[in-house]
This record gives sequence, C-alpha cells and structure tokens, in this order.
Amino acid sequence: MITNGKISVRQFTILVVIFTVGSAILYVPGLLAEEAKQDAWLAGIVGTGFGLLSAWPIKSLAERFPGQRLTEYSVVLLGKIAGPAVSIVYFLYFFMLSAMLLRDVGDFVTTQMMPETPIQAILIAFMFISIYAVRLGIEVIARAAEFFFPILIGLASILFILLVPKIDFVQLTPVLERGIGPAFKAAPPFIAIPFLQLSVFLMLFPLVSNAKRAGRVFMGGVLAAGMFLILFTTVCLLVLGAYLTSVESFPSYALAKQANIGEFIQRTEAVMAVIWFLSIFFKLSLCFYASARFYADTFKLSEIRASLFPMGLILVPLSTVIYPNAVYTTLIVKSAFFYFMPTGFLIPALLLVVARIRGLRTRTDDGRIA
Amino acid sequence: MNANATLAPSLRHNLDMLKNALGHSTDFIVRSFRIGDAPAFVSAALLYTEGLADSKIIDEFIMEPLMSGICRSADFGARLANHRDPLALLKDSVLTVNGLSVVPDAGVLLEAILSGDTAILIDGSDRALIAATKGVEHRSIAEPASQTVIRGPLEGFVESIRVNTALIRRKIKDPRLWLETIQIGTVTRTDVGIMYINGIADDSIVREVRQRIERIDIDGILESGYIEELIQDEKWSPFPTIFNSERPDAITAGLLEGRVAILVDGTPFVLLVPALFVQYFQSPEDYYHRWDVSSLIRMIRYMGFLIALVGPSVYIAVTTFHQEMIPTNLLINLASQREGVPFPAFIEALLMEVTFEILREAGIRMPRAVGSAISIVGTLVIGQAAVEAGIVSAAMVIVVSITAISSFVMPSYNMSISIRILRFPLMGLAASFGLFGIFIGLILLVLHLCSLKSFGAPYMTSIAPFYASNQKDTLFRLPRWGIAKRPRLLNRNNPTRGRNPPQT
Amino acid sequence: MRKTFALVLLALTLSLLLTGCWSRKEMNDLAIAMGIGIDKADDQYLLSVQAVVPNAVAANRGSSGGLPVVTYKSQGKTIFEAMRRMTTVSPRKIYAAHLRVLVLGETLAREGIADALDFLTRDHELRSDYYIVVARAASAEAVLKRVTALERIPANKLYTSLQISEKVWAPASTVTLNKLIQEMVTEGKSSVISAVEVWGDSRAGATKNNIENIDPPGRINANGLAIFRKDRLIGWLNETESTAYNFLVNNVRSSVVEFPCPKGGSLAAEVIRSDTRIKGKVVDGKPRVDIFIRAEVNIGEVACSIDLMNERTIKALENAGAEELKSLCLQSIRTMQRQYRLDIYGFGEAIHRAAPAAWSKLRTDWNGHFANMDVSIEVDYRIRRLGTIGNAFKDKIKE
Repeated sequence: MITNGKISVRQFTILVVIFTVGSAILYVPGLLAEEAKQDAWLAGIVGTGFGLLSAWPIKSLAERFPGQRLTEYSVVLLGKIAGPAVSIVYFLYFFMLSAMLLRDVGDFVTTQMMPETPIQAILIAFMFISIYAVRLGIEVIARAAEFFFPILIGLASILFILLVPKIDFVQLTPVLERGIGPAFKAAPPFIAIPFLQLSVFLMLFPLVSNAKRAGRVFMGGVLAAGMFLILFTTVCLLVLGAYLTSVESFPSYALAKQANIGEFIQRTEAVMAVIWFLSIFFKLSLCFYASARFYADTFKLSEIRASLFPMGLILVPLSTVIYPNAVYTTLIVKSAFFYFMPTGFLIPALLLVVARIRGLRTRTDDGRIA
Repeated sequence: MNANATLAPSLRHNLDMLKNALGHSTDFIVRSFRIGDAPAFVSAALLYTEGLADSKIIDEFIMEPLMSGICRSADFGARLANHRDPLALLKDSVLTVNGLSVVPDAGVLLEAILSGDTAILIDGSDRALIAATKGVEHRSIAEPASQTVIRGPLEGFVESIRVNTALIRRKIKDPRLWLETIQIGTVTRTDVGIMYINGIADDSIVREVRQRIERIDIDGILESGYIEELIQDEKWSPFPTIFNSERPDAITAGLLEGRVAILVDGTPFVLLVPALFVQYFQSPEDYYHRWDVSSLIRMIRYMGFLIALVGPSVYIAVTTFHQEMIPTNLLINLASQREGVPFPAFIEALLMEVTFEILREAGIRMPRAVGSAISIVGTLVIGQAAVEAGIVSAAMVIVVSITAISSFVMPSYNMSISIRILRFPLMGLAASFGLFGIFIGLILLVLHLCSLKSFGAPYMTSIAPFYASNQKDTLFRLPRWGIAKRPRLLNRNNPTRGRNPPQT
Repeated sequence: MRKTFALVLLALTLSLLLTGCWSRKEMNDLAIAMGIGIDKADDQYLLSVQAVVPNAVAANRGSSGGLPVVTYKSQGKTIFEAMRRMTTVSPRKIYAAHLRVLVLGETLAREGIADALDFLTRDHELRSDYYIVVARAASAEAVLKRVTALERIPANKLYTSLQISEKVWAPASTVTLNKLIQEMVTEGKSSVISAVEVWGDSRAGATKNNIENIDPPGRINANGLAIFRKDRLIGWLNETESTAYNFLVNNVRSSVVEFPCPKGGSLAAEVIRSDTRIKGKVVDGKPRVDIFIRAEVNIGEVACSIDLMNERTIKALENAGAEELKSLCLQSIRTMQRQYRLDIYGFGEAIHRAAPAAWSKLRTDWNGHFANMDVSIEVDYRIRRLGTIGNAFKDKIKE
C-alpha cells in the first residue's frame, strides 16, 4: 500500500521539478538579463551547469546514506556537538528561506494584483495553507503536487503557444557581444536560486519508496527544471527584449501580459500568476517541512505537528521584517550566492568528504529502505 | 417476557406469553384450530404477522394440509397426541411448505414471526415449528428515479434486500459472488449484506468492511445512509467517500472492478466501497454508448463540476478585483448592467445563490401538483422582476443559472451536494482576496481531497497517485478493447478483465 | 481533527469579516478610462481623461441618450498627482487598466516625454497594450474632446482606426508603450510615434451635435508619424515618408502601391505580402546597409491603357514599380540623413547586431555616421493576380 508516509519516485521527481522552478520562475529572467542582456539564455545554461554540480554532493550523500536524514548521519559523521550544530544551521536556513518565500508571495500580490490589501492578510492566508499542507504530511503534499503537475505543464504550454506570434528572434542578437564573461557574471544569483536551495531534499530522500532510483531522478528533475527556466528566460528575451526583461520587477508576469490573439484571447497574466502561486506554494511547503523536521530532529521531538502552528505564527511577522523594502530584496537576491553557498554546497560537500575519508555508508544489501 | 424464555408444554400458556410480549398488537394473528377430530384431537395455533407473511402460502401449504385429508380424522389426532415428537410428525408427513425448522426458544420464535415467518404451536409440545412464509409486499422493480439513463437497463433496486441480491445475482452467475449477511440495529435488526466477488475483491478491503460494520452499535438502521455515516473514513469532509447507487448495473460493474457492495434491507440505495473521486463522474451509461461520445460527455461533466464549483466566485473575483481581465467591451456592458444595483457583487451573488438553493429545496419537497407554481414564481421573480427592479444585474442571473445547471450534470447526487456547499466558502474567499482567495481555497480543497482515503484507497487514486493504466477510464473512456485491466485500487490479485483485440 | 475543522471554519469566517473592502472595487464605482491625454503648460502636467459612461454605451435597455463619454481634467507637478487630484472632479475612481489610447500633446512631446511615461510603466493598474499617439498641432485635450459616430467611444475610434489602417495602409503605424520604450533604449534606432490630427470646429466637435451631422464638422484622424530624437519630438513624416518608413522597418502587412504605366497613367496594386531584410556591415570602418524588400502584389485598379495579358508587360511593370518604391525609400532616407540626421530605421541596430565589434566605435556618434552612410536598396516585386477580370474594359469602349 502507498499509505505509509512514502512517496513514489514519480511524485519525488515532480516535487524536485516544482521546487526548482519554484520562486525562480518569477525572478530568474530578470536576474540573468540584467547582467548578461541578450545572452541571458547562455547565462541560464551556465547557471544550470553549475547548479547541477552543486546538487551532486546532495545526491551522493543521499545515495550513501539511504533511508537516513541529514540529522541522523550528521551526528555519526561530525560527532555529538558539530552534528546537531549543522542541523540547527539548516533549521535556521530553511526557516529564513520560508520567510523569504512567503514574503515573495506577499510582495507579488501587493505589487501586481491588490495593492490596497495589507500584506499581512496575504501572508496569513498563504501561511495557513502551507501549515495545513505540512500537517497533512509529505505524502499528501506529494499527491497534491502530482495532481497539479499536469495543470502546470498545461498552463505553461498554453502560455508559450499564445506567445509564439510575439516572438522576435532578432532580440537575441548580437550573440556574445561582450564575450562569454557577462554570462558567467550573471549566473551566480541563478545558481543560488534555486540550485543552492536543493539541500531541502536531504530531508526528503529517505521518504522515497525506491531509494535506488531517487538519486538519478533527483538529478533528472533538477536538469528538467533548469531547462524549463532557460526556456522561460529565452521566451522572455524573445518577446520582451533584454531591456524590459531586466527592468520589470516580475518579467514573467509582464511576459504573460503580452499574449494577445485576435483581441480575443488576451490578458492572460492570471495564467502566469497561477503557475507561480502553485510552484511557490509547494516550495514554501517543502521548506517549511524541512525546517520543522530539522527542528524536531535536533531537539528530539517525536513528531513535527505540534511545532507547525507556532512556527507559522513566527514566520508571518518574520517575513514582513525580513526585507525592509523592494530594493533590499533585489540586493539580497543578487548576493544570495554567498549566503546560500555554505548550506547549499559547502556543508553537503564537507559531509561527503568526511564520509569518504572515514569510509562510512549505510549498508543496504537489498536496496531496502531503512 | 425475558429474552430467553422457553416455551412451555401448555399451548394456552404459550399463547398468553407471546401475546403479552407483543402487547396484543393487532397485526399479530393467532389462528387456533384443531388437528384431528373429536374425540381425539390436538389443539394447535398458527401465529404470524399480517402483512409480513404470505397468506397464500399459509393457506395452501399450511392450513390446507393441517385441516384436510388425514388430519381431519380422529385416528390421526390420537396418533399425534401420543407421538413422541408430534412436531416432527407434522414436519415429515403433513406440511407441504418449504423451510421448516423446530425452535424451543420464545425469543427466536418472536423474531421469526416478526420477520414474516409463521409459527405452529401445538398443545403438549414445548417447541414450535417455524415455516418460512416471508412474503412482504414490495414495490415492483421500476426505473430508478435518481440516476436515469437514456440507454441501459431500466431496472432499479427496491426496498427488499432479497430482491436486490437477486437482481445482482441475475447479472453475475459466478459462484464466486459471495454474500454475507449481518443483522445490525438492536431494535430494527436490519439485514445488512456484504457482497463481493471472491478472488477479485481484495481480501483486506472485505475484512475491513466486515470489521467496520460489525463494530456498529446502534438501535436502528433505516437507510444505507446510516451505515455510510458510521463506517466512512473521514468524518469531517464535505466529500462522499462511499459511493451509492440504486442501479443494479452500476453496482455490478463495481463488483467486477473489485469493489465491495453493502446492501441494506429497506432501501434501494446500495453502497459501494472503496469509492474514488473520479467514480462520481462516471455514469453507467458511459459504458453503453460509444467510447468517443462517452469521453466527450465525461469532459463536459468535469467542466460542469468546475463551473458549479467556482463559477460565481470567479465572477465575483473578476468583476470586483480584476476588471483588467475582462475584455473592454464586455466590461462596459457589465458595468452598465450594474448601474444602480445597490449591493456589492458578493452580496448580490449570495442573494441569488441562496434564493436558488431555496427554490431547489422547495422543488424537491413540495407536492408534485404545485410544482409548476414554484417554477413560475422562480423564473418570474428571480429571473425577470429582480433584474428589472434593478436589484440584481442580468449577468449575475446568468452566472447563477449556469452554475445551477452545471451542478446537475453530475451523475451522482451526493457529489453535487458537496459542490453546492463548497461554493459558498469559495465565494467568500473570492470576495475578500479575489483570484488569490479562490486560489487559496482550491489549494485547500485539493490538499483535503488528496488526504482523503476510502477503505485504504487514496481518494484521488489514478490522478494522484497517478496510474497510467487507470487513465484509460478516468478523464476519458477508451474503447473497451483498450481497457483490459481493472482499475488499480490497492494490491490486487486478478487485474485482467479480458482480452478483446480490436476488430480489423 | 474536530479542533482543526473548527479552526479552519473560524479562520475562514473571520477572514471574511475582516476583509471585503481593501482592494475591492465594484464595476459601477469605476470610471473606465479609455483615453488619457497629457499636455504640459509651464511646469505643470495637464491631464485629461476620457471615461466611459456605461449606460450610454451599452446596447441593451434603450440608452439614456447622453453622451457615451465624459472628459475630466486636472493638473499637477507629476502625472500621479494629477491623476489623484482628478478624484475631486470625477465622481468615480479613474480606472486605467482598459486604456486604449494615450495622447501626447505636441508641446509636451517637444519638451520630452520620458518623465511622463514613467508613471505609466510603473503603475500596476496600467497595461501596456494601448497605442500612443502624438497630437499634431493640437493639445491632447482637444483630441480627446471629439465626439465620434459609428464607434461611440472616441478613444476606441482612434484605437480601431489605427489598428485597422496599420493592417491595410502602409503609412500607418502603431506604437505601444513597450515597443516605444524598447526603441528608445535600443542603440542605433530612434523612435517614431503615430500622429493624430484634429479637424474642424473644436467647439462643435465636443458636443453631441457633432454626431448628428451626416458629415461631422469635427473629426480626428491618424495622419503620418512623429519622429523623436531621444525623447523629444523634432519633426513629422508625411504620408509618403511614412510609407517608406514602414516598408523599411518591415511593418507593411497590406497596402496599396502605385505603378507607373509605360504609356503614362498609373495602376494601383494591393500589397499582399511584404518582407524587408536589412543587412548591416562595416566596410573599411564605414557603415553600410543593404536593404532587400520583397513584396507580392495583386493588381487592384487599372487607370491606364495597358495589355495586362502579356507576360512581358507584367515583367516591365514589376521593374517599374520596384524602381518607384526604391526611389521613394531612398528619398525618405536622404531626408532623414540631410534634414534631421536621425536614424529612425534601425540601421544602427542592424550594424550593432551584425558587427558588434565595429559598433563600439561607431556608437558614440552614430547619428553622424548615419548621415553619411551608404544605403543600397533592392526591391523585388512579384505581381501575382489581376483581380477578377483581365484587361480593363476601357480600351474596348466603342465610340
């Protein structure tokens, strides 16, 4: 039966894709275009390449310790003090990340849809559904993701098809006007969001029913999502041009506004809003789950349910103060690479190195899940 | 009379005891007579409940043999009076009726009489003879009123569980169709049948159903709804997790898919578990029409579901929060309709929806004869006068009507009730947060749906968790040669329906 | 579980009580703005808004007979300020999401439009699908104060006539905000905006009488293009120059072109397909563009004596027409090079895309280089069909 808190490989893949697309879909085109201009798509390829590299330690860790969460093997690898310390770092990281994601939603809704509505109301409503989702468990979140995934794909395809008449390939030229340099300079924020956030899955790997395939599909999911983001960036460039892509606060939303077929099918930005809400909802729920899980594991709580409501209550005000203004947001996003580097790459890599040196791994002779 | 009172050898004593136990109820018939003839005769009595027992059987196969032929002779009277086991004598050589048994216990005797059997007591014996004469009048088999089809069998279940089981057995002549009966209800002692096809239905589900039914402790079961409420998985859900139908073909199809049917005496509605969300969008007729037509109609049902669920709320959200999404000319048109309407769109929608719900309820409850009166009042008052008086806008009337009509395309009534309920919170969310609110509501809804289970099977099975093989009969219905596998509910041992290569 | 359920219910109910009026705006509380006009006087922006009176426009229930639109005016140091001040004049909140036309007054255009456009890009309510026009020799207000027939909302009239003429009439061109901004920030291309003219008596044009005449005394019509250096208006293109412009920037979908007949007179043909390629290159440090125009035409009207049924005539016609279009384009380009020294055709952009390295040297004084650059044009006409008849019946007319 599929009722024991396990998620199928298919569901896991979908979660990886949705998480990776997550909040990135709204920001990435702008971030890339700002530095790389019309070569933003190249920057996207560079970013995805590095992103896959940074995801490698996570995958290797998960494959080395199947059925175990980071909180479990970090104690084995780093000892009784450093191990839990790492867990606390991760708890804080995902807690802050949840607050940032929540704020993203609030900012988007209050800038683009309903400026007169107090941001707190939006935050509370969105936090509420996230708490509800995590309460119901990862299994239910995974199923909901499975339910929404075809809808997401469908909506994105509709959007792309509607935009086809607006595509102008001249917008991409001249290619490599200032060499490959800008593409590399533009990539770090893209690597940070989403690829350096993938360590969330260190807490989800043990839940996959088929541990052997989990690592492979993880990388596959990340690659697919990266390609989707590159595609999206490219479409932004093709339709909006490099300049507008870089100045719009939410280029993808501006992109969706462009669709207009025969004066009849137009004003399709709601489609984009739905895509983004869905993907960020799942991202937030996974981050929230991870932070609650880290918290519960570190302090040896038997289950996470009890801590969800208090954590949610803290998250709402935290997300209102986490950025003082919109300028600060972009500043943080641009330097996120350095902030996210330790938790996203360095710590998993460190754990992996320690595990290699000490030759530690969990034995699973039959591919069984612990 | 205490519960396990035994019968005494005295007929008079027995009769007094039984009459007292039933409070001298007038439908409890005692027919005293003599077997044999003077001087040698034995006093006897026939006991049955009028209306429950078949009087024709009693007359022809009990009274007739007992009061004619050899029974009229004094010889026989003497032989009976001196017989070691007079009841056995009657049973073996006199009575022609089927289903005879001997009981010593007054409680069992009463229960038998109250289920329609006839008891024969004779003086001098402390036991009674029970003859199966159940012959309760039941409604004749008619077309089901709640689930009509254009093409397909027109028979429906009736209130008698026997007839109902027979209707199913008539369709499945396999010995593996098993029926278990349990009596539920300390007072009503209603027969509840669990029916499944052994080898197709999953044992764990059958076991689970049996356990849950046996766990019921209640005084009475009047309809299968009682059982449904007592054994369903999730109490706090607007969605039905147990399917019901009064169509034998629907239930039979369910049995063939490996589901378990629960039949309750006294109602034509038979339950079917486990129930899945998509099942509520499938009408038995889907399988009788061509597959392409059926697939199209199914899409229409899903569309109707969506419209019925979010129609008014999307209208509220778009017209009060996101006017930029309406094409310009339409916006001007709508705005001119709203000129002078005193209420906010939300209140306007609420008014209309509530009015409509009242009308619908009135339409079900009222006597048929005044039906047309209500519909005239409904259409004229709501439809026209309200618009002309400027209380509601014409567009709102259109939206509410479309919503109402859409909610009727659901083949299953209890799913459409769920949508009716859910529409209102969604409207509230739309009125406070616009499309964002609807989005929040829908996410909550999907999360809830995904967390539901029906007898171990995730409610959204075949969509989430996704099973590619189930897709052939979920959103679409593929041609029959395409659906070779039973839908995957849980672990299953016998997945193949049959192999029918398409004709070339 | 019961507790959660109660909590959910409570939260939902409470949220409903709390909210309900933050961003909510009923449709009958909105003044739907279809046209916005911006003028400048001294330091102040003069804002005029043409809002719809829904009751008078809608087709149903015999309209009240009033004018379908109303124009409100206000002023302020910034557009935003003026917009908000307008609520003191207008009974309803101005709702600009359905804006069709933005009219810029000539005075404002000459002073620079970039500041004025900022609000329009920043505000969340405004979309970017409306057309921007410049009022020629008039204030924006005057344009918005014309009542029109057929299309009852004047702003809509402008919008649709711009839209349709762009499709079927080569001189016409439309500009949306995104396109304009993109052009303004793109190196090596200056922007143009369609121009609008006001005709006739302005006072009579603003009343309902205007549409009660079969030949309305006051009219608005799109005519020509306005050219901008950076964000300032510096001149106008007439009809032929506009035609050349649209051919050169590949913005002709369908139009009418004239062919000189060999024996004098001319015939008109309908362009059914036109495609322009601009190839930029740098030769010895000097920029140069080669332009290829390929057009397919159908003969639409013959007003001369000519034997159309002859294959050779058609060839000759094609060549003559090509020459005609070529000289038209060259002439326009020359005007821009000599008179304005302004590259509105995007030649610089073509060179930028083709030779990015050389462009870095040329960019600083691009318009200077533009004025001296070589342009070659090659036109390839293809006459496809003759319409429903062959030769004109004119020659067969008997005495």
